[in-house]
Amino acid sequence: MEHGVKPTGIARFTNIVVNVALVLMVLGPILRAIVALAPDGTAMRVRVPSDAVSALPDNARLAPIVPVALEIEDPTAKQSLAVFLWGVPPFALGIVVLAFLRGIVGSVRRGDPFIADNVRRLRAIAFALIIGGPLVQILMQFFTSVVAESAGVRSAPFRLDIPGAPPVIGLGVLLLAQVFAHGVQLREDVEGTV
Amino acid sequence: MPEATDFGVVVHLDELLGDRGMTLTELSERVDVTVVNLSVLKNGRARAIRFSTLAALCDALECQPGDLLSYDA
Repeated sequence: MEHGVKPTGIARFTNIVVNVALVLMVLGPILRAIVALAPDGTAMRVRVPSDAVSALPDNARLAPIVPVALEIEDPTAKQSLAVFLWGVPPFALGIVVLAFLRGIVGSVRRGDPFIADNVRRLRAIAFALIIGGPLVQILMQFFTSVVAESAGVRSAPFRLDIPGAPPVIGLGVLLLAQVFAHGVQLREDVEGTV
Repeated sequence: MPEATDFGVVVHLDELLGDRGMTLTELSERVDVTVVNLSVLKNGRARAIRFSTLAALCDALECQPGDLLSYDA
């Protein structure tokens, strides 16, 4: 029995993204397995401890970009500030998400989760993840390059991983907000029913 | 004249209760619907009424649905 609930634009868009992501997630390992099982000279990368690279076999070499931890003794004020600021974006995003989540938890404790405020909170969390996730990554890479270059070390080229976990999770939360919106509507209908 | 709901349906519960000399509390006990919900219905704030409730009201008030509800376009 259909309940006459029209799918919203958000739900349709999220449906497309989720289906595409699912196809990629299934195809990815299959393609990697095919490449791995049919070696054609393509180089493969693995992570190893830094002390294992002193004597490499003939068919192994360090990848062009190898992330390493840099220890800076007696950092300058600028370096200390950059390191501090490097840690701010993820905490800021976490605080924003937790603040809205706290409001939702409060309503659940009151036994009243299907309210318009929670729909707004979930949408805010979703947009914080969708926009904030990549933004946090950009800022962290920026501050890393500031510290590295101030120490005279060339930093790695900028790389943005898309789609990252936060934007995908944000889409899921956006869909959950739509579910809650339907819940609010159903609640209004039920409350007015005698 | 009782107030119409948002959908234009008018509930004549007050008139029927007055004609039969019945209070809202007595009706509530007869139909097993809370006084609060009957008040919501009486004041035109209900969004929907179950058939079971409508049947119970008609039985208790000895009336037809058309006596209880009317539509004011």
